[in-house]
Amino acid sequence: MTSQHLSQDRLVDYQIGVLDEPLRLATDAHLAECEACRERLADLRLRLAHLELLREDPTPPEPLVAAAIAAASRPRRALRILPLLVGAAAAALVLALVLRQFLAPASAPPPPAYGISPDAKPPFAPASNIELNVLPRRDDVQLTIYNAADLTLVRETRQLTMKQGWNWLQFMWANTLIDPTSLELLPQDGEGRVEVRQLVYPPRLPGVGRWLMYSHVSGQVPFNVTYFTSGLRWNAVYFATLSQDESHLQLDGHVRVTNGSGEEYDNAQVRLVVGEVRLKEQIAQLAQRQPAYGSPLDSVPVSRRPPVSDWPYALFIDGHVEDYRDHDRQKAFPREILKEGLSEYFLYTIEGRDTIPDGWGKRLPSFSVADIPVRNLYKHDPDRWGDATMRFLYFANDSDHNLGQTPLPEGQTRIFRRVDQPAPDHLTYEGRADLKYIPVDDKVELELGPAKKVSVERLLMDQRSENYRFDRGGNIAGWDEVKSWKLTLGNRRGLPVRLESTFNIGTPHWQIETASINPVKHDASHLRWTLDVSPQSETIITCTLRTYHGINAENR
Amino acid sequence: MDPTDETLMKSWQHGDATAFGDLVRRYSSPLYGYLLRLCGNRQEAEDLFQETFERVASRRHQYRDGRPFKPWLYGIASHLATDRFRWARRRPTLVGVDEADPILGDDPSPDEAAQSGDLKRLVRAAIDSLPPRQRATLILVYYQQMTYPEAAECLGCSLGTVKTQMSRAMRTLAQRLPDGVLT
Repeated sequence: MTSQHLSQDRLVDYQIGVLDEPLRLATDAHLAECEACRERLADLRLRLAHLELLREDPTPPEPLVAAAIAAASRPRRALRILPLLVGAAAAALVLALVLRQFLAPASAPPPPAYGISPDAKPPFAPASNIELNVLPRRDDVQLTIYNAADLTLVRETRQLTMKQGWNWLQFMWANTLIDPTSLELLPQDGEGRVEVRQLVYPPRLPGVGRWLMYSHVSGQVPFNVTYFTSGLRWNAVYFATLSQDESHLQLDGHVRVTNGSGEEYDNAQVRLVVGEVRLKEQIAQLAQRQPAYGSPLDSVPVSRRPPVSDWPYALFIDGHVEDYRDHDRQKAFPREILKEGLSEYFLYTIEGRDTIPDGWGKRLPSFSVADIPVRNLYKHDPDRWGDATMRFLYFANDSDHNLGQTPLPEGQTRIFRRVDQPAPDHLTYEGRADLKYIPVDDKVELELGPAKKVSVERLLMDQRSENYRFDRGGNIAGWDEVKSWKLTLGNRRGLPVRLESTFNIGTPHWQIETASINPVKHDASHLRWTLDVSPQSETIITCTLRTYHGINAENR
Repeated sequence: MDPTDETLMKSWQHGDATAFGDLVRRYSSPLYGYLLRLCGNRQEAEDLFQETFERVASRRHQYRDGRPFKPWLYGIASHLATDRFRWARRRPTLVGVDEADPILGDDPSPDEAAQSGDLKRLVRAAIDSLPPRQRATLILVYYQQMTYPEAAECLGCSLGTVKTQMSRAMRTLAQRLPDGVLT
């Protein structure tokens, strides 16, 4: 008798014959002496003998075997053969059943309106809980990606094999950013042969939804599956190249699609939407919520429901609120996102098909337009940018500028300039600007940032006060201030520049005494000079301003 | 005496199309059973079954004369299944939930199934709970009755790895399988 018994793991390894020779011999020796371990080994064998319950191999369907044999002659097309053969077999089965039971022609189309058989009681749940971590092939997928919100509408087509009677379909979205409340399944046979009855979110099974359907036929049925997902994004990227004299621009637009959704979309048709969509909640948050619909509100009377602002999922569309729970959930999910305003909505469809693996991005060319007339303007406004002089480019999204076909989506623009130094046709980097969404016929403003070679210097040359007025107590009640300014507009570039300098007077009560170059009154308290400054030169402006204060201002 | 797998394979390589049909029929049931146990889903098993023989057909010229056919066939099937598992791990899935599990046979009604604690179902659940590689090893060695070297060739790993996977699988099953005498 050995004092130390064999471990359970040792017994298992002994039973399946993976022990090396010395250990096996030692185990044999121990078992020969130890009755307790022999009993434990016997128990283990009884327990493992349960595996025999699943010993028998099932027989595959004959059409499947026939299709596999056909693969020898047509290996590349074998996958397409299977559905046809299975479908043919299913059709033959249906034919036989119909002939036998109803003596009706099997090839005749099904009745126009199918109703659920009164004898067909819906099952409470799928009869088997086998592991469901696989999927049939997705035949087609269309992605509609909105850049205004983290929102993508996915529309898939799949061929599913149905059997006559009740069918369960399971959808799993673990580790993805799919919004489970947006799932919709629609049979595409067009004849009502399959009826989708309900979508169930089983308890204690996060990331799982099951559809219950009643099929009047056996065989393959095409389905459309539609849902929202998050994590797919697109944004526009622009490259603008100025001509050497900066009078014209070439604009190249690209679209960058990034997939962080956790899902891979193969051979997808990609559509990109420019438009405003306001979501009450983010899809990513909905995707992670369990259960899918949160606490049910259906049992709460309408009068006691929380205000609309607290509803978990709603789309604001043209001022109306769509709440899906107010409708039949199978029907309520809209086929496509409505735009907030018709004029603010545009759809790009990328030609061809693309595969966008999870975690990948892809940049696609969108358009290229040359010879866009462009206006350069340098702005100096201490109220907005301090001492810096900012550079701007202006053009318009219209036919006069060779554009205007589509809105320009929001995106980042990199601006280059064509130069002849150090060699012909070189490029210099001019700056980067964010392009806002530009509707057709609207103006485009690109802010390139501070310009180092164009400057405005402002100096106070003289200051005095006069025209004092006193109240009855002898205190000063009003006065004028007179200030003389010198503005130096410098251009150290090799090109002429147009410079706009805005001057804040600080009060709406003022008068120009003298000015070497007359400004324009921009608003009540601002003057503005807009001048062309020659290359490598300075333009000096002198100006004397009188401002009125106290009762002097009131009496004007 | 029936021709061996290897003889059939050689005949097929030399243009005898019926030899391939014989091979498919010879292995249809065990291979389908292997895939069904591995995937736990009829539709997926059918897809993989089809793909396996498609792959065999497209790679028949790579088959070396004299090489054992069975491990080669199961190796292709295992490789495709592993790819599918890896692929499906981060994807939403849409599958048919069969009301009659082809391995378990006809089921009782849902209510009865929920209450009966069917032994087969428990065994099936225990196997399904194993990681895919352990499950594949168990099915090859236990149900397909392959030797450890054959299973290693199928799975493309070393003999030691197969033994380790088998050991881990059986240790887990020893804890999860039900007690009591099999009736």
